[in-house]
Amino acid sequence: MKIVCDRATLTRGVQVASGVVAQKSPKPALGCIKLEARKERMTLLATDLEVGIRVELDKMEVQQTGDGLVPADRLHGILRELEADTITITSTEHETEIVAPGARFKVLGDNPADFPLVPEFPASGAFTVEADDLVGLIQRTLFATAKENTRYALNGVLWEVDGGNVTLVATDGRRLSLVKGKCKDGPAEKKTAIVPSKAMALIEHCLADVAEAKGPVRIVMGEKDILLESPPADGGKRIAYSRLVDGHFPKYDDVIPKDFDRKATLGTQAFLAAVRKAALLTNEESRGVSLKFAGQELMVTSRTPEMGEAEIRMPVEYAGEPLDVGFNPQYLLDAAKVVDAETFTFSFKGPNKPGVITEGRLFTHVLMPVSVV
Amino acid sequence: MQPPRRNSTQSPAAPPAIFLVDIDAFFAQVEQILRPELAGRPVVVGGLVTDRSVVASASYEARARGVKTAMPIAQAHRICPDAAFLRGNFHAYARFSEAMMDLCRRYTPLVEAVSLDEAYLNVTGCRRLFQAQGVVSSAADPWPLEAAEHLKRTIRRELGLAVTIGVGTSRLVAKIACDYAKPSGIAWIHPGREERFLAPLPLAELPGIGPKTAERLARYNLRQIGDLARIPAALVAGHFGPAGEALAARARGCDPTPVDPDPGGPKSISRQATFQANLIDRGPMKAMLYYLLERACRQLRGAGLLARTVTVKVRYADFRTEARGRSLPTFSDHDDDFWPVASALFNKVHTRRVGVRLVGVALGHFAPAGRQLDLFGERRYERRSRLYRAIDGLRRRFGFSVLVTGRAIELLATHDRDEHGFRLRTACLSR
Repeated sequence: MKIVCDRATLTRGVQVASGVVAQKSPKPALGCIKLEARKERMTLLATDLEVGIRVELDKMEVQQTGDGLVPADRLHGILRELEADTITITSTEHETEIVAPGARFKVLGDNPADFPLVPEFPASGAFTVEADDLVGLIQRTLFATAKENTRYALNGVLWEVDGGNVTLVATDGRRLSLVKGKCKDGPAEKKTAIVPSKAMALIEHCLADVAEAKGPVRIVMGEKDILLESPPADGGKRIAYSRLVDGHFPKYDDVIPKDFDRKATLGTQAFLAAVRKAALLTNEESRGVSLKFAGQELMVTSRTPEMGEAEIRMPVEYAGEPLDVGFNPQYLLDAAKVVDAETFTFSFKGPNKPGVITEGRLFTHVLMPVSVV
Repeated sequence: MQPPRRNSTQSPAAPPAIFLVDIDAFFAQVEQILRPELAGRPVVVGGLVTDRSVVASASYEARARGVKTAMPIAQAHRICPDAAFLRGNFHAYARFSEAMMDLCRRYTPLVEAVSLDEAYLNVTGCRRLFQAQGVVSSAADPWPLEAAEHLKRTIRRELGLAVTIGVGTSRLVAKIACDYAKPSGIAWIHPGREERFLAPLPLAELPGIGPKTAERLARYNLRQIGDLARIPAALVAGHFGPAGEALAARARGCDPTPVDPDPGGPKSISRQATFQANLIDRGPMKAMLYYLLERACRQLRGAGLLARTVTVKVRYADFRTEARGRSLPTFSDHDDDFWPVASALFNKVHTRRVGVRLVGVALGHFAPAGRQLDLFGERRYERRSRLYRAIDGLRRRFGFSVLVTGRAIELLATHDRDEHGFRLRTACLSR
């Protein structure tokens, strides 16, 4: 295999693929990126067997077709240090040579034949979501997935696709994000899938990494896996593959409160600033920050033994009985950060009952409070 | 420089006056008071001769024969066969302790109980008060000594207990003075003479110096407290790090730790029990572990706290001890949140094919009751909270034994019960 490549494009591709590479795997091939040089294009492949990616790079000059397998961290490191615009990569079965003006690297790798198969995008059965919409959907849900894996099947994001609608839901058991979007050519009958958090982060990275990634993302949702194909970026498409989480997503509809007797409309930036200030005097042991709504004012307070206390006021539009409710400040920040509007509403049914953040009709975020005993 | 203290003196000239009151051979002495036929005889509390337990407390008559705290009962029996061996009555000890603390609080509100049988009193600046109360005579200059004598007499008269009191200008000096005056004595170190008093004592007597540190110091030929006090503090700090600075200060009798009547609650809650015979089977060990966990959780709920970590301890027949802890994903005060973790820890800790003599459990990393609520599990949590409230209520009213949980039921075959629960071998001095 021999290719002459544009270093900047290759580096971006390697960065995306590196996000998938298995960090500590007994199979050394999984720590590598596979380079596939074909007549029409070059492709970078990486997989940890759960999640896989194909990064197609069109602007490369393939001088000799073939495959190469290079440890991802070394390849990335070399590309980062080189200054030349154009570099030449030559691979044989067990080694890869990277040559730039004044520099030559010979990197020992594994046999490309040992690399597992990364599925290609199927020819039919796809529905589409606009790339920038999909990034928004992911950003509003991914943060709410469970970080520790002891709780339910919550290490992923639930997808529900139904005709022209796509709904994403994520929860870690203490908060829940639900966001609705549009799709084209969705299945007539509702389909659901739980996509692992790592794959969701990869998809976001694939799309957000390249500014000009506009256009439809094609998606095929199977029984056991999901494949997504990005619109052309850097002259090539990126295809993400992931196995689905095998498990039951909790009945999320039951825990989204439907009626409220207290409702606040808050300035997004002012609320973020107030919570950040109050959070300065909290730690893991404190009961979080408390939100006190009364009249047209919100007071955000915190109190931590042996540390101190904070009291931040901001004006709000508020309707209902006065309320005093406590929350983990990080949860408030996470949710308000993804609000893409100047204001949002925060609705309640009383202390020790969930609070609900909504932005328009499309974003709903349920937060469980910290109980004040 | 000492930091400003909450309970400092009213006049800057008056030196601090700190008492350490320590009840002599506490458990054994209480037994001698409750059973006069034991007076003057060697008494060992901790277990019967047939019990495989350790000495929790030995009367001075037994100590004279070489019996020491934490020595196996069997060994104590070999060297002192005519001693009275008792299992002890923890609840009687707790009542005596409470009565003594109350008595101390008549002298000053600044009473810090550090264990059942030890309390620090800060009586700085109490001279006029004591004069008015007739505790000290007006002319006497060594008023702290007089006050200590008065306190010792009062405790003896009202409770029958013999105590030792150390008096000094800091906790550290009071503590060492008390050790020096045992048993049944009073030692007062005059303000300004702390260094002279400490100098000839071996370094190991200084609280905070363990065998390791003592060995390190001995390598520099530092054997007495005075040897260390003569070395510039900066040099000690340079060698021992930040801890060295405190160490150098302590060698000179300085200890800025205030007497704190409310030291902010416990850092951990622990329970442990020695088995009557070494156990090989896991079944009864786990039953005991669960029972201990129940007791610890009850105290946790009683204190209005939530805990996050649980630690399990196993001591083998050869006294090798293994312990391991782990954190829960959230704070809790429910037995069955801790149990799966404690049970798994036990399986990891119990690895040797050697008999087990003791198991223990500890809860730690506390937070005030206030809890991140759960979206899906709230109803279940509420139900269990009601269950534990009901169990706690029943036990408060009818005694701990009114209810035995299934996981602890194996203990019924091997352990007697009284109103306070299963009768365990070793009572514990810590509060």
